[in-house]
Amino acid sequence: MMSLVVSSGEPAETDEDIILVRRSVRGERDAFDVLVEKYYRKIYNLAYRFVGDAEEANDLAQEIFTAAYQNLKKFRGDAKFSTWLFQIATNRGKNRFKYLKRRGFFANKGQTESDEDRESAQRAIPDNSTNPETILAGKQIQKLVQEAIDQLDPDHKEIVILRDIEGLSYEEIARILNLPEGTTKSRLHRARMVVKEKLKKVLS
Amino acid sequence: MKECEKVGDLFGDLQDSLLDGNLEKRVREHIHECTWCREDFKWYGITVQTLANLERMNPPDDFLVQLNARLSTQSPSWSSSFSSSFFDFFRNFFTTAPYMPLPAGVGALALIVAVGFLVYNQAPTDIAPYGVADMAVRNVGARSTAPARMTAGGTGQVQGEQMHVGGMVARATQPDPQNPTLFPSQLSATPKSLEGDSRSLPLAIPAGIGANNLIVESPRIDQALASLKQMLPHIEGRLVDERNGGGKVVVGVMIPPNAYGRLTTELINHGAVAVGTSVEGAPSASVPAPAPAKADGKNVLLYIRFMSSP
Repeated sequence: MMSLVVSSGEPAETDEDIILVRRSVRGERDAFDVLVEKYYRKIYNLAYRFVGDAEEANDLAQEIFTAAYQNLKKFRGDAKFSTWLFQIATNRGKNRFKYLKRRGFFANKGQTESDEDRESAQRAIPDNSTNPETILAGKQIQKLVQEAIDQLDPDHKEIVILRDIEGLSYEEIARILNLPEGTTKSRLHRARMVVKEKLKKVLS
Repeated sequence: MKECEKVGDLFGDLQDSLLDGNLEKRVREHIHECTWCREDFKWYGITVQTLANLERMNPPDDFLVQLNARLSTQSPSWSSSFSSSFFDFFRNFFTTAPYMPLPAGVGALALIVAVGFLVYNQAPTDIAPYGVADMAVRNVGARSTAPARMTAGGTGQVQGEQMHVGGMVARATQPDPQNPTLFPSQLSATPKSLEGDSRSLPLAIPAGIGANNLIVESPRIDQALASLKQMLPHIEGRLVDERNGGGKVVVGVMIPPNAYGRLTTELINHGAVAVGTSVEGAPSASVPAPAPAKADGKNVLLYIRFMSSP
């Protein structure tokens, strides 16, 4: 019997994680290293979307794994390890986002956008080519979108990150955030509408 | 327009293909016909697509090295002994929510201030109030201009002796001209009734006054007395007793402890040539010995003896 293995580049969620956690709890550091290796890119990306800054994201992602390591024994195994890790990541990301927002971190960043940047982003909308100008404009759009989600309130921001950026299912998001699925959907819709209005205002 | 709002609420489900067949068909028909909804849904789709296509950010090359170094400095909570777990509880208490929200910070600060205020108000003070120190300096000045009239130390008959007047133990010594700042503390008096409750009365006042409290020598008793009566309401004090006889006037005033310095200062400013504390001995026939200083909660009862000065 032949089995077809398809590698999607995403971490495979299997019982393997549970076994690695058990080994880690027994004191095997290399088992935890395997878990880190498996998830650190995803966690770093999530951290980056929460804080919108490479240095802060690096620190936040490290804090998330440190917290996970410290609390590994509390992982009971009744949910997937990735769900549990994302729960820690979301809580920490949200806290860091609130902390930075209170200190005007995002307000200062938003003011650096020039008219030229905006015009460059506007030109990118109808043009799907891959010339350098369009790539640059694409970068500007990325920056604008990041600024738009930075202006969301924390409850909306976390859902946009988990659903639209990380691509988690509503069921997973509901479990991570401990919210009913209906609430998750309505919050996501409101968050998308806010981002949509900001993009429309800047790009149209 | 109401339909547009309903359709707008379904954009998310339509985008995620979560609508059932019939409803999806109706929503799409509306979007096709309504220019405003069509435009809005177009931007909704652009938004969702843009969010989904955001570039994946890559961690720095040394991320794992840094993390490894960080993890090596701490052992996981389950591997530590009971005592370190105990301390970890408090550490985790803060690391779980390390960024205290602003309202919580303000609340904590307010709580600290409130507790501090309560403790300050409850604690016994052994620091002389400003007014007492001020009076000592003024007394030095008064002594230098009219040394013969100073009555500190009473009449001089009780120097170095201990005597009991009106339930008070008083010791008097001659003021030291070389060390004038010691003046208020050189007369010590402890009302027996207050000995067991040092918290009810600031120590500086009963320690600085004698049984007969203050003596004011003035060439114009009436003027000094009038000034006193005039100023009492301003320091939240009140006159509780007044007795005349033999060229002397004794008044009893109830004042807040912190007004003591101001009272004596004002007396000097309004005709008194000297203000001092005294442990006068036997009362004269015409002027009965006043009761010792005592407190009624927040106020202090003081007796002031006005005497004519030549």
